[in-house]
Amino acid sequence: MTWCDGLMSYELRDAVVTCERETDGAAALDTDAATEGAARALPGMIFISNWF
Amino acid sequence: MSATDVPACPMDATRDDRKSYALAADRVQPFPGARAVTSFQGVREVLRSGQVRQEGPGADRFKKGYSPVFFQDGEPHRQQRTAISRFFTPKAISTRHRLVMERTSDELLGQLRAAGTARLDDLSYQLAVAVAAEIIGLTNSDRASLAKHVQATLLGTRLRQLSPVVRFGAQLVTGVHVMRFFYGDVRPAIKSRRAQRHEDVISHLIDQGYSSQSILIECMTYAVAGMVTTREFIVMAAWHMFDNEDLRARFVSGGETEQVAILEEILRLEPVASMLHRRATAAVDFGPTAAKDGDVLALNLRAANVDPEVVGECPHMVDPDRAAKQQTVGSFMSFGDGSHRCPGSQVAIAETRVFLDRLMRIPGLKLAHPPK
Repeated sequence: MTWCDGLMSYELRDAVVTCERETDGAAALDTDAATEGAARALPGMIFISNWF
Repeated sequence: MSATDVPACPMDATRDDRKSYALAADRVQPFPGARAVTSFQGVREVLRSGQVRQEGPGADRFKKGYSPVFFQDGEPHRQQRTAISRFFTPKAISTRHRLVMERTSDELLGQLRAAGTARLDDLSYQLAVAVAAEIIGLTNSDRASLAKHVQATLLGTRLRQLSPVVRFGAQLVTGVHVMRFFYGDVRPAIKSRRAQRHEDVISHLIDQGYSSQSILIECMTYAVAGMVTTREFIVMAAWHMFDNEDLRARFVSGGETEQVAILEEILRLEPVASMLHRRATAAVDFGPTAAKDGDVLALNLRAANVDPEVVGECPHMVDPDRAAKQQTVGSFMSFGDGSHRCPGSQVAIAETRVFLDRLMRIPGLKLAHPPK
């Protein structure tokens, strides 16, 4: 047991919320660029997250 | 108290709005040998008594010399709590912390609106980390890295569930995580504040002569208490509103007082911290509970929060008017009581309110998947 046993009686994961996506062009472009960036970095991400 | 002991609810005797009851009952048990206290009055008597001290594995580790605020008792604890209370006052919230809450909420919800989807616990954790980091003084590193480092150190809270061999390996890994937290987040903050003090906890601890190691332990304590618990409560409160359209409508249309009442009522039913332990330091009669010197008491906050003697009728139902009707504090025992009552309770409610007030107004917002 640890000092914080009893402090965390529940942990809620993977609740997904959705909403109307903003159709602003700049926002959409940024998101696409972020997706491409994330795809390029994925192998490294997996390595790092395994370390954690 | 069992469900069968509760007086029938005149609206719906079978209604039970609790979502985390079964999970909490499975996860949180009294320490071996501890005696459970379940009545509101009994829990309050023990927590307000000067004849008990914090109990739990780890408490004995700090009997001599430095002790983190979580395990302090008596006059040293009173002095420390008085000194740090200035970081959690309504004035501090309204003049400083609220800006962080609003700015971070807008940033996170802007990301949600741009993407059209997000994991709620990711959003709530990023918010809780930003607010707690500002109060603690962990502002000299990237927020995303800080969040990851804090989350990784929590592996240490799960060691007891592992077999001895696996546990040894997990301890080593936890040690690495703690080192990353220290060198990546805590040490840069200490260095910066040794050069120039800020209005935050780390600056205060430096002034008190705390070592870097002691500051690290305090930071880990505040991180769990301020970041992780708030992450969970924000998701829970949102879940209740998604499942109850009337409650959501009342929250969105309500003023600040009304919104706080709704959040405190949800927290009454779903306290993140649900059990505290205390060891009696003398023979003492706590009203409904008598204890001998050395007795360990397991204080069941969940049971206390549905004690019909104090919370009134329909104790398992969300009723935002309950505290007003009962003329009492709305969170009941959710933040504890006595000298160790959660110092950040108002911060937690405020950031949850600010975030959910914005979230629930987003056009077309839906809960696509409930939490696991």
